[in-house]
Order: sequence, then C-alpha cells, then structure tokens
Amino acid sequence: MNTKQKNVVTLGIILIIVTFIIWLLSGGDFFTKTQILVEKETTELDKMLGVEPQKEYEDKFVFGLVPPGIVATAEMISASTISALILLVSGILFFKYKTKNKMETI
Amino acid sequence: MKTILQTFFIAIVAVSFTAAQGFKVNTSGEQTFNFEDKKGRNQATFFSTTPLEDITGISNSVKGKVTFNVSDIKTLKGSISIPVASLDTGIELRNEHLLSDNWMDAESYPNITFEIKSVSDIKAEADNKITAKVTGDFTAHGVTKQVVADVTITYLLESEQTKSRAPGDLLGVQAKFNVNLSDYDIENMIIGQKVAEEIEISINMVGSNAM
Repeated sequence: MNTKQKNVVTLGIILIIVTFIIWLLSGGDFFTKTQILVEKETTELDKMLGVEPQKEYEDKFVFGLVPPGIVATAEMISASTISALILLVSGILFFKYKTKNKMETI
Repeated sequence: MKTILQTFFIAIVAVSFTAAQGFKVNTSGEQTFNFEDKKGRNQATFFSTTPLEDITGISNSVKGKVTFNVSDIKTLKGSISIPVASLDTGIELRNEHLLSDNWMDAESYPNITFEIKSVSDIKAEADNKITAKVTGDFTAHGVTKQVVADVTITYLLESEQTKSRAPGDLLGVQAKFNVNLSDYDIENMIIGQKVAEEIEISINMVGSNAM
C-alpha cells in the first residue's frame, strides 16, 4: 500500500465515521424520512369537546440509517447509502493509485 | 315513620341505579350527529411498534353518524367508517405496503368500519360529559370481530364558540381500543419489519346535529 492508497483508506474511514456521527446526532432513526408526525395546537373548543390534538405529517428531512426501500427520492440519503458510496469511491481510487504505482515501477 | 323513611331511601337508591343515564343538558329527545368534516379535522390514529421504530398511521377522513336519546346514552346507535386509502404513515413506500394485498388489501376491502352494538359502564363525568365502554363490530380486511372501546363523549349546546366549528349542537367523541392483526388475517411485516401483533386505535371526532 503506497502513501496515496493509505490516504484514501484513512479519508474513507474518517468520512464513514463522520456520517455515522451525523446519523446519531440526527436522532439515530432507522429509516430516512421526509415527513415527521407533529401535533397541532389544541383550541379552546377542542378542550371543551374533550378531543385530543390533531396529528399531522409535516415535511421535514430526517437522516436515517437506511432508506425505506429502493426509492428515487430524498429518502435514499441515509448513513448506509452514503457509507456505501464512500466505500465505492475509496475502492475505485485505491485501485487507481495501485495501477499508477505499478506503472511508475516499470 | 322510620320504616317509611328507610323504604323511601331504598326506593330512591334503586331508582337512581336503574334510571337512564344521559346528558343533563338543555335539550332532549333523539338526536343524530353527523361526523363528516370536510376540513378533515376528525381523525383516526393507528399506533404500532416494531423492534426498530414506532409507526403511526393517521386518517383524516373519518365519516359516520350516531343517534341517541340525550337522556339515555344506552340508546346510542350508529357507525363510523374510515377509507383504507386515506391512511398515511409518513413514508410513501410504507403506505403502498399498507394498501397492498398482503396488508389491508384496499382494493378488495376499501373501508374500516365500527358499528355500535351496546353501551355499558356509563359514568357521568359532568352534566355534558360521559365515559362509557362501547361494544361494537369492528370490520377490517373483510373480517368482523367484536371489540370494546373506552369512549368519552362530550355534548356542547350550540353557542357562538361552537358555530366556529359547525352549526348546531356538537358532540365530541374520543375512543380508544386495541385489535390483534392476526384476528383480521393481516400479516405483521411492513417494509421488512415485524410489526407488533396488537395495534392501538384511537379516534377523535366532532359531530354536529345540524348537518
């Protein structure tokens, strides 16, 4: 393993760790979501009628561990897909630098 | 004299136990309340858990009618229905799974219904508020089973404040009950996650007798 390959591996590991830290700080949800459940404000009349506050799904991005299936939307952005992408790019660069190293030796 | 008083007291107690229990409001007779709200404020919530996360499905398309004698809540009759297609779990793919053949099969069984059969354990919390256990036929996925819901019913006479929601007297209903998925031939996997066997259903709705 040459210096460039070592740098690629180190950078890849750091980026994956950072991705998982961001995931944990975002709430550690299993699925990536584009909507979250919120409670609407209760009116005085609702209280008099004895009904609970109405709930609704509001648009908000939540960074999760995995996407909820193979979907071509923002729900694909998750810790696992980003880590897989980092691994793929790191792998490509790792082999690219390996070839260059051999050429240089010849 | 003492015997007469004792007999009178026992008679009063006996009558109070057998008397009809209802709302003590300034109206009487049979009333019909319609729960159709075009603004989608009436809501049914389906709560479940998986080992990885909680799932809440909501529907704002609750419809139905109930009829009862204001002074006797035991006369309560009617039904509530929710279109399966209106359920939203916050994840589009999960909604698709929910409506599919493996789950609710929305195409074959488009509605979830609750038909009131009887009312028991009536307690007056206030003149216009009653808690009771309402037994009814709950139908989902083409299967009907009897369930008992814990219900709180509040009667509000028409006022300037109630008119902001709907014309006429208003009836606020909060109901909660649990159902087992296997009782309704529903499999308990959704997007690869095993869902808890028991689902908690909660209904919050307001009806008017002038619609």
